[in-house]
Amino acid sequence: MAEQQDDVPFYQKPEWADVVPIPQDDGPNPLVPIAYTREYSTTMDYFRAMCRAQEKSERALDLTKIVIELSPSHYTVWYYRQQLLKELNKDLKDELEWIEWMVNEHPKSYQIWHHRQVVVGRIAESLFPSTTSTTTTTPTTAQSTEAAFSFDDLSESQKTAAQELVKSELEFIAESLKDDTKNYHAWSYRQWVLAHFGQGPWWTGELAYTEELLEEDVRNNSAWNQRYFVVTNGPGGLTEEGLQREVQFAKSKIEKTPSNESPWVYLTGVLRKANHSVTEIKEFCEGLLSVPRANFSPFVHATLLDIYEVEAKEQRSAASVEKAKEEAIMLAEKVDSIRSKYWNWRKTQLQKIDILA
Amino acid sequence: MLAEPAMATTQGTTTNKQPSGPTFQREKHIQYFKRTLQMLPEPYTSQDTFRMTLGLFAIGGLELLGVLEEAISEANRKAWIEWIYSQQRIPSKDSPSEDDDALYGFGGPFSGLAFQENTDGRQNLGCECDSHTTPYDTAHLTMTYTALLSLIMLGDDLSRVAKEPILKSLRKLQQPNGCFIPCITDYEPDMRFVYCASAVSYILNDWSGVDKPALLNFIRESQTYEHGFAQSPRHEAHGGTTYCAIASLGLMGGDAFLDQRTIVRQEGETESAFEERRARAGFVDLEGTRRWCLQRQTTGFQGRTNKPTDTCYSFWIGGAVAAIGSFDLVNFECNRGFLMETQHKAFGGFGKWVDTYPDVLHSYMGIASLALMGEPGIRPLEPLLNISKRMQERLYNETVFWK
Repeated sequence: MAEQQDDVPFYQKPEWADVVPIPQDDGPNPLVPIAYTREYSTTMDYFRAMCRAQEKSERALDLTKIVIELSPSHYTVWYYRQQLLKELNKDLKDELEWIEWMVNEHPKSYQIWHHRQVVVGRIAESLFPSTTSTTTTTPTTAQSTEAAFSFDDLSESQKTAAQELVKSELEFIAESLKDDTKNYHAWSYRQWVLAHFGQGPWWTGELAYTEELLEEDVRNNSAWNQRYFVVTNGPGGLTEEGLQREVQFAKSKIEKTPSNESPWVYLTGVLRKANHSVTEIKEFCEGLLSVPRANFSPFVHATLLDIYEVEAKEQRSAASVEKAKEEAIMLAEKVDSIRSKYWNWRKTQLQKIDILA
Repeated sequence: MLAEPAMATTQGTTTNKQPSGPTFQREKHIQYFKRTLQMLPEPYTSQDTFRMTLGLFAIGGLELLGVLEEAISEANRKAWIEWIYSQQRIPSKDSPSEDDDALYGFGGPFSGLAFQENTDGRQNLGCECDSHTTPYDTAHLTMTYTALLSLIMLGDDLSRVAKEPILKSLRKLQQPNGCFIPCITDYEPDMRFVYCASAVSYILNDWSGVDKPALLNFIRESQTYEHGFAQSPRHEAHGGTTYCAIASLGLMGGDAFLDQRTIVRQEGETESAFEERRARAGFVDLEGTRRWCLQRQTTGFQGRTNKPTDTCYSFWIGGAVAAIGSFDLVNFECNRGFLMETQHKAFGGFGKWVDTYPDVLHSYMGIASLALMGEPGIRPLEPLLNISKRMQERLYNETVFWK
């Protein structure tokens, strides 16, 4: 059945004459009634009838599209559509095109992105069966970033198919991210795509992708989070060599934008992940104190506070406690006064450190 | 009772200064919520299946403003209690089927089920699931949680709530990794539904529908390198999901916020209960969470690092910070200043940002945030359930699962 091309609502067409619409029964005094348009009410009357009969037909499929476009966060229509796509054995490539259009219209809808994941998951299953125990025979294992496939165990033609599918999905997501580089759903789906197909060659490109995004906007925290995901979840995990590379990368970004929170948290994050102490960057932080712009960065001082506090505890050193206190005062009074209550509280905590007399 | 974290909190001797600066438009907000209860304008159609949540925000807003019984007539309160119960999905009396377990709880009228009325012979207990029912009639975890709170606010004692079926549905909705999906027609496990499941279990005073160790593990895995909590493991730390994670831990018992070394065995406590409590303690990097949350304040609060402020994060972040006993470290003046700006001067209510149309969620969250700061004219707020303390007392003293 063709899309609604003319001004006649679908429910006035002869193909729908046999359907008995079901009105919403909101009772005599409903809570927060909504001023629906007549078009919406009537459309939903017919949708209710389709759902009640659990009709599996082309016209039902078309109606799910109409309902979705009216109400993208409706919590049963997507499932109905997914059932219909399967039952009617529809070409999922066409579906991907429609989802692409919908994502542009409604980029912040959880359901649209999840629907893409379901469709791509099905395409993958039809191309090659899951080879690990996280096989999705029930729909409940959605959105886990565990691999459903072991890439190495696939045949050559299957590997090619996987790479093509991953590549086109990563391109789709990248395109969408151009409009909103921090779209949470896009990033969450991107992680699923990378992880679902196992440890394939696409991981190496991802690090470069995060670098590209950070070149455009070094404050893009989503890109930093993705970078952390890649270096800690990609093939081999975080090696010592990888750690040093990431430390240098973060430091270089800090030098460019010392008051940018993202690279600071990233830097201390990767150090901690590799079981390295924050005290390792003491020289770097102290060096920044003599750089005019950096001297006013709250993060230089906050990190030094952390470092001196760690040293104070490890060495039970009164001198370190004093240095830490100075940083807390600097933060409370000069460089981060909006959080003065917090920094003053940190100062009182320093008093509890057990030092050598 | 909600356990106050026994640790040395950061609560200092901050006194509540009389707020200076722009005025809190209390009357305008009362009128705003009253209007939303009469009729929501057409743009809310996109949230049609989530009406139950919109009801909670409107009723809850009036409650926080101290005018619930004044603004909502007894006739309306009774009628809306019936409307809510009519959205309950319950097992068939004659032939309940295990297949229906996931459908139980509260939903909405949009799937076309008949409205249930009280008659002489039969109380309105909701809609029985039978051969007529389909998956498209399903309840939704968020609607269950908001229905329960709305019932309490409207003065109901929850005696018609079908607890066991709801617990059955929770068992169906929990995923192998501990997270929850909201209903079988929406397979999106994430932290928001962890909170809904926790709130429902708390209100029903029964955690047997939840695999707690799995749930705790999911929460722990979702704390990121930034120390905030993401929607799912490895995603980006986010204000909304940080609240959901922290509040869930708080509802389960505040041990998660305690240093393991401070947990001592209580008199009469079994070895296994003690071990379980100890295992929960020190579960999250509390100092990290505190810091990440407080770092989100720029004027009001942002939801993620380097993103713009938004009214609702004054609650999501503020509530999380309150839950761990550090709300006194928030900069009240800057937070209030921002919230005063996001009030809508003409319509009342709050938008997400300055000069933005109000919506019912941001309006509730704006008022809840001010409640945390002790704003005059607003009832004190219980952050873990995001309701007034008065309603929290009503839950304990007047509803069937607690009293």
